[in-house]
Amino acid sequence: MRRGSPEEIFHECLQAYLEGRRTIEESLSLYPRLADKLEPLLRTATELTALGDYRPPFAFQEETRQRFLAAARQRRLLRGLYGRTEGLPGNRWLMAGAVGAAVVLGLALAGGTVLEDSGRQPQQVEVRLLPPSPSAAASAGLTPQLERVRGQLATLEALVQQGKPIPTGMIRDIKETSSRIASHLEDPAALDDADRDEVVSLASEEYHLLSMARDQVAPTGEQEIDQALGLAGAMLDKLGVPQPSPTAAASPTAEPTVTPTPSPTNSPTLTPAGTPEP
Amino acid sequence: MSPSIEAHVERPLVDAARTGNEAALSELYTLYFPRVYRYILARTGNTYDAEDLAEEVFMRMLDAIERFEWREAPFSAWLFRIAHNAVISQRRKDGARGRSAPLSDGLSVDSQGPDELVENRLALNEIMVAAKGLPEAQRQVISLRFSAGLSVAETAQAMGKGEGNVKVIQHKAIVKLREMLGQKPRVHAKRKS
Repeated sequence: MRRGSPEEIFHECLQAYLEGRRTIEESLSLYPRLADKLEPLLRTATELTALGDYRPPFAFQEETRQRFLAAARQRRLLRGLYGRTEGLPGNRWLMAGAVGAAVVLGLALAGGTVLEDSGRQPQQVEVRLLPPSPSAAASAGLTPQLERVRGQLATLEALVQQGKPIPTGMIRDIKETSSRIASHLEDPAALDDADRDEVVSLASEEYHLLSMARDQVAPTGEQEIDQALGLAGAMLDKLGVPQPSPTAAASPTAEPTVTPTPSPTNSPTLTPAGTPEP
Repeated sequence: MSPSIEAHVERPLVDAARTGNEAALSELYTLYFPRVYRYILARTGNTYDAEDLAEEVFMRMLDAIERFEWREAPFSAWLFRIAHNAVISQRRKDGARGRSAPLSDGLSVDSQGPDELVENRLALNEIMVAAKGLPEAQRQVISLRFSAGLSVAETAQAMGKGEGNVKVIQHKAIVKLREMLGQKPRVHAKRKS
């Protein structure tokens, strides 16, 4: 690009504005012959700077940070494992053995994904031992949502157990996360077995906990609970799993309570809440 | 626009992160996560994708940071290439699945009253919709420069292009956006001192 070209002058004026060195008016006075063309473009460019005002929701950013750091810890552990093989005689064979063991383990766990454990810790970590399978690729984006709802349900369970008031916003967040998960179930066959089992487990638990939470929400939250229950039930339907009965729902701590089953006339669909499908 | 992170600060941070230093990784996350989120939001126009993909980008970064080498590109350029690849990959999937979701509620409220906030949210939606009509390279330059806050040099390295080329693309993009958006000022832009 030649010096003094319109693009170069525009960039120079924009940069001066962004760095606070000159106002637009001061730049225009420096290039009076180009002012008519420069001004509208600079005004548009200044509007674009507002794109930098978008920010991720704080709670989401912090949850994600915890998952990110937990994943870093897992990787460091794995690296430590490999690191010990270095410098030993025949370490290539040891490394090959370690990789082979990882492959066998990955295959055994169908899909190459190992979850740290089956508990409901919000900071669970996914460790990929194998390249993602096609089905894993198809469900990319699902894992963070599953992690998120797991954390949300752990919090909900604690409040249910303690009999404390449950904020409507919490139910809304669970519903929103569930609707995102539901958006991945349009083609259940694309899910790998591990993801499918995880969705079934979480949806069943969500259904059970929401049923128990009904008495602890404000009246404004009851509608949110109904909608979230409908969504959890619809996810189970979609995966061919019967909705849990009040007595069958497993609760490690609390006695089962009467659980209203969504009315068949209000059969929910899988369209995620607030997510218009084209 | 976010200031670029100075090299003398960034380099020791990235080097520490490469060894798995948790504090350094957390600091890199603080510095880059909002920028990656904004970049993806500008590219996809979808807050759900922005959240999912921003997290995915940082997980991919963890997998690859040991292989990062300074001689090829600055860290920011390297990271935003990962983000770009994640967006492209998501777009292919969305093409097959037809997923869409609204853009909303991601706008910060710093130094804005409620009226300005609502107006700006609508205006930014309008800008993002217009930006969808730009050719791929122009949209990428706008996203990297204005959403992620990269300098022209960083943008050039992230895109594998020359700086002069990026300036030309930037100019063309803004000319085109001006045509699409018309004359009326929309956003209450922050005043620069």
